Amino acid sequence: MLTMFGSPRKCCDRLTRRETLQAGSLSLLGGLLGGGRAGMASPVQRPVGNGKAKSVIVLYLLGGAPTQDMCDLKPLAPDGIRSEFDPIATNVPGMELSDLLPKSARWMHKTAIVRSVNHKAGCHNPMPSLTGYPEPLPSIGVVQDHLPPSIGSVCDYLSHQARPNGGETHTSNAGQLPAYVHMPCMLGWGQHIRRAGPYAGFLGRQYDPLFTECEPTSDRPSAGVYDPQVVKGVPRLPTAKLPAGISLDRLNLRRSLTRQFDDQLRQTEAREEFVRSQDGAMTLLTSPAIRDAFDMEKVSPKLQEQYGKTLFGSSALVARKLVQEGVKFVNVTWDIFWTRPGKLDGAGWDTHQKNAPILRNPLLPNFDQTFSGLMQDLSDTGLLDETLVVVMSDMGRTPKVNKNGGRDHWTFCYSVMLAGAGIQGGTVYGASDGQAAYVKDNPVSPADINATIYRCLGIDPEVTVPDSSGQPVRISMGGRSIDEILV
Amino acid sequence: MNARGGIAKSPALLVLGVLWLSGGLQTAAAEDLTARAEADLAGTPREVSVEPRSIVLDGPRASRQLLVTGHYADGTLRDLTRLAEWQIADPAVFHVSAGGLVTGRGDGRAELRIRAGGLSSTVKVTIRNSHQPRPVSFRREFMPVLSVAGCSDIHCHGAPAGKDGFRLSLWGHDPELDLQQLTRELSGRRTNALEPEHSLILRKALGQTSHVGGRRFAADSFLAELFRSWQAEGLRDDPEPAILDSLAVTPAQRVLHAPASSQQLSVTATFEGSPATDVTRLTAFSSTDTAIATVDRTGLVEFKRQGEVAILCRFCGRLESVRLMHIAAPPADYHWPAPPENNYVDTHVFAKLRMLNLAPSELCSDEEFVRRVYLDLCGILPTAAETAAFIARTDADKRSRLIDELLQRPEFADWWTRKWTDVLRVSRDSIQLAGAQAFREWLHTRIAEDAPMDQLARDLLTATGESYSAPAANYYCVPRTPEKVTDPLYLQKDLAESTAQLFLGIRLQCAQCHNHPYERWTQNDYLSLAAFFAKIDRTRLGEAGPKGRPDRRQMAIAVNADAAELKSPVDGQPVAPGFPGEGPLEVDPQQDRRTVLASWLTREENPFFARALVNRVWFHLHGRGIVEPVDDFRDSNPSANDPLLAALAEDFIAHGWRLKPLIRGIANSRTYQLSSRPSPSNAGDDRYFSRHLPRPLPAEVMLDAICQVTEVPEQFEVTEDYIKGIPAGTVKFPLGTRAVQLPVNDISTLINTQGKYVRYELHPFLRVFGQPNRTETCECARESTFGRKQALELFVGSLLTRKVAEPDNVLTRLLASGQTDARRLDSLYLAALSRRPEPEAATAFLAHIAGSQNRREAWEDILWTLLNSQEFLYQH
Repeated sequence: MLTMFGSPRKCCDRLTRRETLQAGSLSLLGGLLGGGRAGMASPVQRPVGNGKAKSVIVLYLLGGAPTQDMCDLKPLAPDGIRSEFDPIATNVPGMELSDLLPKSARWMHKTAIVRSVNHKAGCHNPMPSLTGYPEPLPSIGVVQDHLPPSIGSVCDYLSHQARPNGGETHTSNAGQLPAYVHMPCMLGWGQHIRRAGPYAGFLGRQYDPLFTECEPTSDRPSAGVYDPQVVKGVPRLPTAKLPAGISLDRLNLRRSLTRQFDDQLRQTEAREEFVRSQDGAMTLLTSPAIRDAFDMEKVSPKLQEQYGKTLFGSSALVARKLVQEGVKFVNVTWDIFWTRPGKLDGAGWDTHQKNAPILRNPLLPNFDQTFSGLMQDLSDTGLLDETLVVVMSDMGRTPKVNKNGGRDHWTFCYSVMLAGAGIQGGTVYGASDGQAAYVKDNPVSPADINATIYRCLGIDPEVTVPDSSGQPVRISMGGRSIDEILV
Repeated sequence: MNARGGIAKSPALLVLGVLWLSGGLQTAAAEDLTARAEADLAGTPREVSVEPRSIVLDGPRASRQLLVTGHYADGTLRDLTRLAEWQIADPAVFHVSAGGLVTGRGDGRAELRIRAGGLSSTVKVTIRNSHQPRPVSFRREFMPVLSVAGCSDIHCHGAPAGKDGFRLSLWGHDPELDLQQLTRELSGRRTNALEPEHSLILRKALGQTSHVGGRRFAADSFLAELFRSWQAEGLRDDPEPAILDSLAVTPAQRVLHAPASSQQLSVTATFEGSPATDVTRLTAFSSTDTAIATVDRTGLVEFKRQGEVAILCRFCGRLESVRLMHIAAPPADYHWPAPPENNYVDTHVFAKLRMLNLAPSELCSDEEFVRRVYLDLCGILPTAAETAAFIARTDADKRSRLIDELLQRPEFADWWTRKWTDVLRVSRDSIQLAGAQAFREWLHTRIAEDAPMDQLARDLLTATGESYSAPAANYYCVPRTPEKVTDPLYLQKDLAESTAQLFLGIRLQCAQCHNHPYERWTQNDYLSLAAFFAKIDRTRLGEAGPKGRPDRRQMAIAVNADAAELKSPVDGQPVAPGFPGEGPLEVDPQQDRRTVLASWLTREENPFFARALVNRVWFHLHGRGIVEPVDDFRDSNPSANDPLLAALAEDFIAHGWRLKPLIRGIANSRTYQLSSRPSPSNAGDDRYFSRHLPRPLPAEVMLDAICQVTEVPEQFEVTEDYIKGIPAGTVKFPLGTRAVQLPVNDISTLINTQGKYVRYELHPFLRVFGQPNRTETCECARESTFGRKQALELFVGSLLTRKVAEPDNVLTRLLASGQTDARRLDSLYLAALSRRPEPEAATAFLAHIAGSQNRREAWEDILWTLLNSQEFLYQH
């Protein structure tokens, strides 16, 4: 048996190197005690962010998407570095994309590209991008409770804090949607690894995302790691069916009885996490909105085609429906499926071999379909003005193409795209050198990207949250927002 | 000449510092305030001591860190080094930095007069050979710079693969490799003997050339000077490498009571044949918890809040650590409640709590106690009758008597055997059901008769024979054979790691490939421990299993004196067995060398074994180890209470290494019997055992408790052993078998439709609640969190739903009895929660019953509610 979730912490898990960043006590009070919208109550007189976005959809390309072949092409770079693809013009003059992304090219007026993202936290480490934490992990399968929280967890935590009687409430939370959903499966599920990143870390597991489940398929099994198939399937809610004989009314009745129960653990700090877990379970059982969002029967075939009939595409479609219902943060990951459920796609975006052929098919055309399909749908439904779409990766890839025609791991320079609400479309920030190898201008850390996301959401990145020892930690993790790409 | 010390940062001073910076407030008034705050910090010591009393600095780069310490009437000590005023008689002879570092300027003798806290002292300083050229030692001076500046850190060039093409040995443990890297690699461009100023290492370190690691030190620093001089002197290794005898850090331990919140450290090294020299500025310092305290390059430790840290001090491949604690001033209304002490456990726990100004919670009630102690000692709930009887008892020592009774119950052995079967990896995948049953039975017998644990460890470590008939041999059978054997040492390595984790409480895994990044363990320690297992033959008996499942057969373990020695993957040389940290051993080739290991392990003087075991037992009873994680003892992971750990270990040994006396001692302590409700001062404490920490019931215990309360036992059924194809049938355990008693953790078997693929599955309920796969030696493999998934399982999962609605369950009997509804509710409460309902809840529940048309369904709702309460689902 392979060790699955909850994989034991291997060694090297040194004690926390807690990022105890000093932040103004004023913003601490503003963030944690203030009423109204989270982070908005800070009495500090400075702009908190444009707050245009109500929700965020992250399209996460696991494995490291190559900036050189997507949005930072270097046609003048020497052989062995230069992309096999040509740059094409987009609907914004001077802003070029790869010729394999023609549909995305029509959305650049809504998009900002940051071409100078870099980190030093090691390869295949999703922590910098998802949490801003800049340190390497002892092993990629390590998930530890003292690590910093992901952006989605922070959003969930802050909106919870902002609610009156943030702790145990005796009014029903059932019916309230989860604030943070991660699709299509627990990150790393398809490789029997529980990858760090999307969790709540020291905020407590009650702020972990709702992970959906999936049963991905492909037309044929892959012959090897570098023979990726188009992964199909739809995300679905974890099993949450009412048992026979128990009606919704009876469940609600039972839930109301639990509130009259004289629990002796009322006064302990373990209480809040327990109650929130039960509330979360009730939501999944009782909310029609969330169940509908996952019902593909209710989606026209045309719209499904628009997103692409892939697991990634259908996840993005569900993400849009969840956002419409008010879910704050949705992560749609292009995950890797190798040891489970079978050999479908063993590399994802980790193209150590055959980089160009794999990009040509299936990676870039399918990504192009889903990104443009999502942008179109958000636009058609009027949600683009209040939804921020972020395309990111755990890292980039080497400028040099290796002897197997692949590009290897590279964290020193890569791109992130931000589109939609709060973003000044048609902008490019930062620049790489002539080979897209290193940053030339305006280096940007993953934490800077996260601070920018917080600003779009109207959350002050300087707000602090308490770590496991109660020390205040800034949610920006030291990042500074890129104001040049904000409206 | 006067040089006043820098400002030590007490919280009050930090505020001042901020004001100071924020513009133009550097007025006389602010200076007065600072002076006053400094005076407050220094206070009025009874005595001021200076260490050392006299200083002799020999050679051009010699230095000495002074420590100025105030001794106060209440017995406390404060570091006054940064507050001291230095009066130097002759500035031409020596200099003192604000932080108290003395460096020579010219040969001669002079006096240093020190004034702090209103008292004075003098130190005689002698400077010799200060201008005599003396080449920079590569190993003693240059290499330490790489550590101090962070170059050889695990996150930088000390990473196993180096960083950006430049690789150094971790913390400089391999000077030869580093010399090679510095002078030969990259065509020798890294260093430059002719123009050190243009060398890549200096330019990068100074940030003059693009460097991902940024600027590491200033151009005019002592470190930069060493970088330049060593290169200019010809990039040479030391003609005769000196051997480091000892490394001493002062103070080795200290408690800083507010207002004191900082401490200067001083480090001296003694090389073979030389007097001790100060190496403070060549020592790499790090704090084990930077949220509590930070340490800078000069060795100044500054606390941010109350707490304890270890400061790790590295020099020339040696690691020493010192323990420092800071205690904040307690709130005005705080007082120590002086709780009675039941035994030595309380003496040590309360001493620590008193020191930390944490008032322990109240004693728990009888109802809380009876439930807690049944669950912890026997893994079961007390029945309603047992609870009622205990509460009714009036003897003063009834808690103590109950503990004695529980220690004799068969459930005690079931439960504590289960704890061992987890970490001993008793699973079907490795040793089949037959092996697992034999192994469990063997352990169960020993735990029931309270066999000495040193004997148990010895039996396991020296076992031979066939796994179904010689159960202890399973210790050597549980390591799984990889699908593809790429590492011929996989078995020895697995055994070294698991033995270290189980019986030494240390995690050696990191040292397999490189020296442990945060610890003293080296790759040699790892290999020489593995070498104890080099002479074992592990063979499989009977017919071969299918591909990928080589272990599904009985195995035989034998000692083979002719087996090859383990070879080092570094240099291919044979590795002699040796104990961690003690170097190679000579072992008689005809002797089973595992007996040598077992004898060393279970010697009374062995620093690891007893502590590792008592910590494990403490962890099971408190939900948290004194060292936490429970099997991760290391300098950088200080225990929460050293004297407690030492006393428990001593007691354990004194009682013949037996578990029951140890458990009896802990369970009888007031500490164990504290309530989980916090006191005003201890709400933030989850480390020092000032209150009971609620935690979810372990998976098996939760399942058994649900079965017990609903009176519906679970029928467990597992597949028969098989090697090929599909198992022929299943084995049903007798009805009433509890989950805690199961020999294996797989319950059902998944067989895919083509019949090609067979996989064992955990019991679905147990899996949701975190039962481990038993593939790891680590307690951490058991997940014990309560989240949305677990809540869902209990709300609508089939197991609980079935047992609540079962036509023949506790409700059937309750409703058939002639009791009142109030009495029925009482018995459900007693069975599930070991207490009676509060009047308000009773009223609400009885109203629900009275108002329902279907009484049975209404009672099901009540039962469901009790089973879904945190009070039922948690140990508290």
